[in-house]
Amino acid sequence: MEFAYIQILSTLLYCTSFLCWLFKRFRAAVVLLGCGFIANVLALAMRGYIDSHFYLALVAEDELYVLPIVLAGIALYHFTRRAELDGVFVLAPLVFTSLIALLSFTEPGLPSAKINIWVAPAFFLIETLSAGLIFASAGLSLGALLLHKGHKDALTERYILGAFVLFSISQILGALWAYLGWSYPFSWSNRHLASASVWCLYAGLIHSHLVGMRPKTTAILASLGALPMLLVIYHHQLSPLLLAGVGHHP
Amino acid sequence: MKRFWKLFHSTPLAIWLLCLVSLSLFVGAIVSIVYEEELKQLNFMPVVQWIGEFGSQPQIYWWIVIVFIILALLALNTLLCTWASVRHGQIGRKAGSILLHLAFLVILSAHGISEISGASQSVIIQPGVTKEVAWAGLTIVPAKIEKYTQQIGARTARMGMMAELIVHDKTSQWKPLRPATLKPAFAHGLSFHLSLFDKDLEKSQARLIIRRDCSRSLFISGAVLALAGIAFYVPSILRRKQYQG
Repeated sequence: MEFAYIQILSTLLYCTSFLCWLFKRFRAAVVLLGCGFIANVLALAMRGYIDSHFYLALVAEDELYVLPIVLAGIALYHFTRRAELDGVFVLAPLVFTSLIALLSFTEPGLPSAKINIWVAPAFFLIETLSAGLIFASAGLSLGALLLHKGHKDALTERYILGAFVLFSISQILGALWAYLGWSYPFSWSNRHLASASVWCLYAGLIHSHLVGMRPKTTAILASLGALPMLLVIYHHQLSPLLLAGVGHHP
Repeated sequence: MKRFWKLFHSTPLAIWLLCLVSLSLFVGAIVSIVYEEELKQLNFMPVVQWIGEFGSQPQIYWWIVIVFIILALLALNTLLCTWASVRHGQIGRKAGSILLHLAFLVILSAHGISEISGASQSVIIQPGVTKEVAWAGLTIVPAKIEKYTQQIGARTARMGMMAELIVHDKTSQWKPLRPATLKPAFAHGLSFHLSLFDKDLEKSQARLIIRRDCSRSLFISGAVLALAGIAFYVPSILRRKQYQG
């Protein structure tokens, strides 16, 4: 269970990096973020090491724990492109997802039949990459709204495009995996419906430049994209909360 | 006709339809948390039959009706926009975009066909116990079920299973099948899947899903078109000004 302590360490490093960024200590923030990223990768790699075997497929499936790494990678990329104030809006989702991963900490699962095919881990990994880009673009769009930026940002546009492309590929792989495992490529479950919702919204966003949509409208739509994506990634955590909210007790 | 063309051949309309369908699907995702069991049944029966069964509970399905209406309008809009691109001789310049739109239409049609005409049943099989699948006109005789496990420290990992079946149809033709977890078998126009869910079953039992879905090849064509579309689309779009820093 040493990886649990390393996971805690990486979350602390991310939180400190976020605070440094808020107080404009950019260099310290980047160093702490880099250390957090390394610690997080190490913790994840240790989760996949079971009984002297390393299961890459198990690691790829752990969306909850892979997502902070993806966001940390995006934040590092963002800071290498330009160290401006809006970087904090990429760090905010990173801190949030890292804290959720820590709060809903579980022991790694055992390998199953899924590890025998490449489709399942590829689906999870690509979906998590796209989720990272969606949260990053949502954070940056929200930032643009808060900072009253009146122009479209090339990096946010690239994140939106990357998110759409990767999410589309992941949905094709997901459909194939669901067909092999359960016989249907689309299931009427909250996860699949939320995924379809994300795809449709991002497909709309991809068309926005064709009609000269106002940057503010694009930013609102990109920010809203985080909501269904939260349900896709955290459906196990959100479903009981919602059921308790409406008085249902499973 | 001109008014119809002008109304539906519109990119702003496409954007708002996509946003509306996204909102309806998100509402549906929330509804499906509350009515999980009811919506799960929709995976195994055509949508019309399902709505017939839950007709007295519109709170479960109202959003599905809205999703279907918006998707039908979106399909029409996509078709007309794609046709306009082809008619204006932009096939070369907009190859990626056209392929992606075609992929969307093909996958949407596949889903439509699957939801309207697909049929499916989940049965628990056990060696020596014959199962009748009336709607497919089949008799299934399970001969053997083998479950694979792997010892990892003190714990046992379940690594899937394999079944040997003999499937007889109405004309008394028979075919031996060997479906395994994540490796379905195909016969008589049906697919036979061993479900990943087997926690509540005895050691000698397995859950077999029999599915008739004539849209399988459409799904595959749509996926291939989509991947080809992405391969053409991304390099072309990255050259645009908005993506350059």
